[in-house]
Amino acid sequence: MNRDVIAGSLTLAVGVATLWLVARLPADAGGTAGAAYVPKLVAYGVLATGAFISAQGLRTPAKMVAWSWRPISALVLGVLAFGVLVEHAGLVLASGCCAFVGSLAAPFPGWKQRGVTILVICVLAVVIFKYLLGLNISVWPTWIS
Amino acid sequence: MDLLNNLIYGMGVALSLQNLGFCFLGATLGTLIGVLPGIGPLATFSILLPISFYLPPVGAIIMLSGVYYGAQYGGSITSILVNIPGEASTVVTCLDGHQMALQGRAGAALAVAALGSFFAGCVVTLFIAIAGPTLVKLALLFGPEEYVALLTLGLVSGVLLSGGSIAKAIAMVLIGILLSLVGMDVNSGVERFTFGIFELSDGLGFTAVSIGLFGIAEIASSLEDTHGEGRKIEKIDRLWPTRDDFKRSWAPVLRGTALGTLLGILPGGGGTIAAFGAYSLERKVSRRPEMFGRGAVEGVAGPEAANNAASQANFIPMLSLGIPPNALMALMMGAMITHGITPGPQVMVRQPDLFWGLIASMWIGNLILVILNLPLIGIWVSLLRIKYVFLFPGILVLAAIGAFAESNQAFDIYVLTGFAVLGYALKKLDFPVAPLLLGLVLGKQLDEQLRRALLLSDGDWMTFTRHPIALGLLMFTAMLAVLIALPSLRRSRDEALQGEESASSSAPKSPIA
Repeated sequence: MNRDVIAGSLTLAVGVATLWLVARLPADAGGTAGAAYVPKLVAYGVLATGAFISAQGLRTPAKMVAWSWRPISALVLGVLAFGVLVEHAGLVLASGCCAFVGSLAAPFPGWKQRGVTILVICVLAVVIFKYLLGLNISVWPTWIS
Repeated sequence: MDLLNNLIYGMGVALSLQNLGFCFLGATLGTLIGVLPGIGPLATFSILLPISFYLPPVGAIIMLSGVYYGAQYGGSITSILVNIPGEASTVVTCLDGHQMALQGRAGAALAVAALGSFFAGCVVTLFIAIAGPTLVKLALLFGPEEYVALLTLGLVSGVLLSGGSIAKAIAMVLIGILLSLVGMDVNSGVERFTFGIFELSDGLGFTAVSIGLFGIAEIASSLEDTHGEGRKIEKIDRLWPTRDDFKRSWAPVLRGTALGTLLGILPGGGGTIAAFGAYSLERKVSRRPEMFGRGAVEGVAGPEAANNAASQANFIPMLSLGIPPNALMALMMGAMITHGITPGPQVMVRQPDLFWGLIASMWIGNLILVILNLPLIGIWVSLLRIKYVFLFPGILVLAAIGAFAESNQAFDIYVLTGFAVLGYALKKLDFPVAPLLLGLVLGKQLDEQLRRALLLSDGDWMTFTRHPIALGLLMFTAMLAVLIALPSLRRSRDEALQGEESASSSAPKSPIA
């Protein structure tokens, strides 16, 4: 896989998508620049650079570097878990789940260390955000309190 | 004298117990960022943004500024002791600083770095107090044409200051502009790129986007690079430099301060370029160039003064013109906007307490940093030994709460995760991410001002040639663009900006081969 051809094609895709999305907006509002004017202008620029990046990729091929899926997916899932839980399950559960799922991104020395780390994080989260900064967020699940 | 009165007024603001506390907190956090492995200033800065929303505006900006220049100090600690730049702008400090540490002179290197930075910080603070108001007077004459020109200059220099492929940097700036246009168009009330999602009509949450792009993506790549291990640290014996060190350092510090200030005001110039510039300058003027790279104290003093001078001088264009010269300043500007402060010439006029308080706090912050970095160095060294695996889950939770706290809606967290994946993909595709942020911060203004300018001129693009300041700025921009394109300059730019984004993560790498 050629890294820069992928990069260029994705850039081109952004340009095309932008043009498509603003197609229905007025570029011209009674003789002056309308809402679509700048996006269109920028989109043409994006298309041009996308084409240039792809062309350069074909001339001097660079290999796509390997992705390591574990760190990024564990981190993203951890944050997602927080988002799903925070409004109803409260800060403690949301932080705990986020820290646990996120911690799977890297090998820990042991489960005990992992547990202690998560516990410390939950306590700190409550102390800092609830008590020091006064965040409007419930600590425990709403179905308990 | 006006200047003196203003500075005294600023001191009054900065020395209030509350603001002093924020300044101390910021400086401490900044040093912490510089020292802790695996998380650079951009990432931490974006994660700390939402916390600042709970503080009063002046205090928040003072704290964030403390974080900003504190990171410079902290970054040099890891450069000297571990040979890993905590910050891109302290990459050169590794060269001679770490050599000094290997020769058992880590203490002297740390002291010279801290004192040199302190001196530079003091001089630049005074310089901002003088140059800021002058620029503000000029900026008050600006109309939409001048702003368009200025914004263009800011965006083009955003391309200049990013490392790597220029085409990719341009693509990033442009995509950043597009992202900034998400939401309701203020001129026509039409919604752009909102896909009918209610939460998007206000635009993308700036914090969520920056935490995703920088915070999460950076944690992921540093976990990949280091697997969460700790690092080897050199010992510190004697903290005070020798007389010889002092004698060799004072002139480089002066030169570094001057060079750094100059490069810091120019768009596109930042701490990194200033430090590299100062290093090569010192090597050129030195009577013992062969010592450079083998523990020459001049090679620590010059660049350290220069990077601190530049990073503080970066405030000048941001505070007086509203144009952030780099991604960190763009984040700072985002923070000010969230606090209802529009960075630009109006700040000094309407919020003198913020303007002068911030300037005075910089001086105090620099003093605090010298104390934090020299007598208390032991604390930071012990922090350096913490394994990254114990830190990153906490950073992750901090990031999640931060994104949520900005507007108390879970939607922002979903935005964050989307941009986290995007940020990671962009890194893998070798796109520089910082220009995207610049586009995101400046894009909306560019849209508004450009359309205003075209409205005033009945759609005639030649209007820009009829405004001398705008024309001058655009010509300067064009010159800059040509300079970027010149192959010889491009090579030295790449050298100077090598690892601009990745150096801030913990990836161990030798700074210059």
